Amino acid sequence: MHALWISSGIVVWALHFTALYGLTALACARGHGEAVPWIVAFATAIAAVVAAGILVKGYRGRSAFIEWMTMSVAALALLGIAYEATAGLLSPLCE
Amino acid sequence: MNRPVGLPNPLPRPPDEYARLKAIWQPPRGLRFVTVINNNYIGVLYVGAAFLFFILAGILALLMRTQLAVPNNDFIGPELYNQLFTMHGTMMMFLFAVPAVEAMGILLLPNMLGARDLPFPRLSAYAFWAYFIGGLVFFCSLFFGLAPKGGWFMYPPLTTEAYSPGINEDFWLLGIGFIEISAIAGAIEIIVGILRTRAPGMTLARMPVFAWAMLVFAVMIIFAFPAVILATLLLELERAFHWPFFTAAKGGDPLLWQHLFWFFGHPEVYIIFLPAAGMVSMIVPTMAQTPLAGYRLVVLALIATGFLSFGLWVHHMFATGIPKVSRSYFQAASMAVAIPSGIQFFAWIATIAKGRMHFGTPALFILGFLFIFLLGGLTGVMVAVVPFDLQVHDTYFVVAHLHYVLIGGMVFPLFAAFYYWMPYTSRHALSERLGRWVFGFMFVGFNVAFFPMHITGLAGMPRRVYTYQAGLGWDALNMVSTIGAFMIAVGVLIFLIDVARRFRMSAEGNAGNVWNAGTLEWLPNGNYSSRSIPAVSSREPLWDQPGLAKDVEEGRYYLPGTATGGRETIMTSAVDARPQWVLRMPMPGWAPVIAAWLTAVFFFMLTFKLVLLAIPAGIIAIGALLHWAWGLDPPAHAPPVDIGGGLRLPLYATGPLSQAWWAMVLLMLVSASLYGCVLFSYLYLWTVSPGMWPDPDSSPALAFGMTAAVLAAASSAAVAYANRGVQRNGNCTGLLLAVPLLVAASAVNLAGHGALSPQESGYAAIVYAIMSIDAFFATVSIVLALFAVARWFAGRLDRERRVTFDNARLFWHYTVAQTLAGLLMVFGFPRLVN
Repeated sequence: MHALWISSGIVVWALHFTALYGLTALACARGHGEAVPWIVAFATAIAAVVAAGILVKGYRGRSAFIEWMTMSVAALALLGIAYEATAGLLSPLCE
Repeated sequence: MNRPVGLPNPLPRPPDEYARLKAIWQPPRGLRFVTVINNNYIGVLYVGAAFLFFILAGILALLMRTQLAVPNNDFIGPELYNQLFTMHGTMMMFLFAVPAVEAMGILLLPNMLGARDLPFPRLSAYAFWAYFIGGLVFFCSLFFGLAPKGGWFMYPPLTTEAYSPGINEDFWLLGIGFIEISAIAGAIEIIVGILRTRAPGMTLARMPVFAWAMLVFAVMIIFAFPAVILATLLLELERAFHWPFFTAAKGGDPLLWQHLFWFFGHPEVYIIFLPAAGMVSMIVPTMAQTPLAGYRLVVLALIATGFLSFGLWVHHMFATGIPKVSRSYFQAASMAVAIPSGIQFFAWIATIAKGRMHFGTPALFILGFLFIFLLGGLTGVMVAVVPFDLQVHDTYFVVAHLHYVLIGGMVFPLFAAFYYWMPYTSRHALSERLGRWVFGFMFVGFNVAFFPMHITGLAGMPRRVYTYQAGLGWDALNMVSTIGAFMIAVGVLIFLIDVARRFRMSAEGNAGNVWNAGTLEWLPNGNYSSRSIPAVSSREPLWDQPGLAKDVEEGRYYLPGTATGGRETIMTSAVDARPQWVLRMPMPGWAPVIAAWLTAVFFFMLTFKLVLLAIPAGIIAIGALLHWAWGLDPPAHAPPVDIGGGLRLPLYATGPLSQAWWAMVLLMLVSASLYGCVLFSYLYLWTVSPGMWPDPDSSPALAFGMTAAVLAAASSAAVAYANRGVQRNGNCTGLLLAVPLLVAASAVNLAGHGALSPQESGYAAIVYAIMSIDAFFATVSIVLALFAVARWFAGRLDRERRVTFDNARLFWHYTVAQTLAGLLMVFGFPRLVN
């Protein structure tokens, strides 16, 4: 189970991605395009905090390899989360 | 004496120990050879079959290039041309690329990890035969004009019955669905093999990069392939029974197919690429005679790519009218995935820079790969940009891009691997002199064939046209591409001649470690893998542990013979690779082979709508599977065995220690992924046609849903009760109580929707699809439960020997959880939204 932590950061990225894509599609389909920036901001804030938390927690692993990997995956995931948030905030709404 | 002291087993070894080990791992002879299960034989057969499909699909490509060489050509008509490009793409992706890398895993992993074989060798044999027979029949459809012709991604509505009558598309849907199941079987085997059968001391941090790549590859298959299996199932249901999942007029949506297909199809590209990248990460350090630069970064890149590649699927759908903001998410993810690919690139370049590169043929193919894949990656970033993609969508630019990525990213590394690992599996290495010609023809031919296609595409030539008018600026470019295609063929032909001359399969008499590589597959080996299982203390044990090869061959490491008189391998812990127990492995047998052959017959009889012939084939296949399973799970009451070094290990394990538990958990993940896709389809169709969803008054009565949920939960309680019986005295007959409860749950669910007909709307069809999948899972759970009860009556299940029961129990609880989720969706969701 310990080793499963390695991918936890990128799982947060995946959930963030799913939330952005799913909720945006839903908001656009239901005519609530103005909600999209709020959705993006809210989901990104949560995801960034969780991924940063995992990054910090990585210091406390029992194996050097696993702790390094957990931290680095979380760092890459944070970059991915930033990419997605930027895309969501800069794109025109529901066009 | 310069050997390290304190090795697990002393010399001299008992005189008959080695002979007995050799004898038990001997493959069957004569006609029984088809029942062979040793990974080195199945691996070679598997690679050979995949290569055969590569050749066949390549010939189809040459036919197409001949047709396109000049404008207004009448060499091939549109009907056959459609079949050719469909079969070329389908075979290259499904019958060559995925099986080829999976096959390399089966061939190499056990030896590379220091295991005697993969943990489920008969499953490998089953997967191979199912794939090989299925693939051959699929290819032969071309000779009868029955080959599919809807393109390798089979988009409806073109592929619905209205526009594609006949059974051509059914061949694709049933054939591919079936072959994907065999790929999943292989993936489960590979994951359990990598995580549980590594040599003692081979912690995750010391695992060869190829094993990491194959681990990520297999996990990706677990999550990606169910999407395409579901898609093929839904389209087949629409074609055969008119359930309108993809018919817009009835509340379906053709785009649902694209979502499901590409949710599989994009990770598929990385499923093909990552193992190839893993091979490169093995070959480059050997050719440069220095450890891989940035091992951790490369592993990080593999893991990150595995995940990020699931966020790219809509970039195949940029031109479908999806909102800009949604497209931009996928554009961002498509850019992000370039980061881990870049990390690997720099790691390889740094390794080449820090070592002394020997430019043998494998190294040439690696350099070719770096050049071609880099160009493919760059055009990939170009088409990830939405406005650019809209310009080149469905043109030859995309054909150029995808061949640069796939041939560069997978075929060149695979050829490097053929040259590199040939001495591992054959008496002779391949010819270096001819190898340079092979590389030269393939590399130059490839660029001559595909580079002009970028320009042809920018000049506006669309994909999948069987001919074109003269004077559009495409004539010379097409002729050049055709010449290049034939140059590739010449290269492959020389390769085949060299293989025919020099490949002589032999485990014990192989050419050996000709490259001075550092990983365990280069230990002296035989059908049993290595004589004794080494203890590993570095990533390149052959470089860092002096005398290792000799000590291993003399039997001074763990398990130097057979401890029980049968085939065995050491099971180790997933992270630290500490020895935990000794797995008794099965021997060859007919059941897996017959099951695979008859499963293939079953699917193809269904394709021809010969149900009366399909049913007996299906029954025999299931009978063979049950016979196979009956012989598994050996007696638990066996004394521990000595593997050396003071380690006495048990021969039986249950729960998370057992290999069966791991395989069952992985199967549950596959199932959950499939179910997630069907629930996604339900929600997706709702967003498209919410008007089809019933209001609370006309919704199925809640009482049915509640009753079905209570019955399903009660069946789980009955299974928990049966578990207490097993803990007491092995008696699992409590399962018999659970069976009627689960049957009743399915029946009540169905009765609740009795007024609904699956043909009437997309909503009704998807509700029936959810219920059908639940019913299928309930049936499988019941078969597993009755199987466990039968074993109890036969005295093959008791308090300790309980793996069969545990598997049934896990799957049962999973089925109930899935059913409850489905009930919540079909009964709850309409009330929530209306």
